[in-house]
Amino acid sequence: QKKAIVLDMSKYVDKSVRVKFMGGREANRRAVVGVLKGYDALLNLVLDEAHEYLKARRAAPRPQDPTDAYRLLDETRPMGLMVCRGTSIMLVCPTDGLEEIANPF
Amino acid sequence: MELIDKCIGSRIWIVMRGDKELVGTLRGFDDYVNMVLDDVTEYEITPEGKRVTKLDQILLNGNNVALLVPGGSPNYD
Repeated sequence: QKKAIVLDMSKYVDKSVRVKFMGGREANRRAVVGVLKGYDALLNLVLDEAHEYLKARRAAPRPQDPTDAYRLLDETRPMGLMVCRGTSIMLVCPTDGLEEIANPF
Repeated sequence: MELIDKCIGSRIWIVMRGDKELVGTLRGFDDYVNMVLDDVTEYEITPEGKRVTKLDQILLNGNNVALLVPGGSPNYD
């Protein structure tokens, strides 16, 4: 049986990565950043010095998604050493090279 | 998962996909990361304040687990 590795995580070990999780909405999905220390074939991850981005309740609902009640903040809370469940992970990307751009819309 | 195995017998902080978190003593877990936890405090992260309930021993369904932090939560404990 062939094992399909879609993403080679070894290149991210000891690098800072951003992980987003299933659940919530696009605009307020749970996000964590941390240094990747380990991983397995099921995409369970071990992150060190991890921080989770906090949420705040929106003052006014967005017309695009009136049911979206929260927004992600720039603030984080420290979590330390953690395991991220591969079954809940939606996205993994390196933080190096991430930049925020002006809203094009 | 060896990190979780090392945590058996100690406090662990579980963050679910939604707005729920639990802190408890990890007694064991299976291949699906369903977990047996003792002496659990459950936090419902609501708009203002967190609702807390206490439970003696639970089997937590691993389906909605997003994060596991050995050692419990620095803020809450």
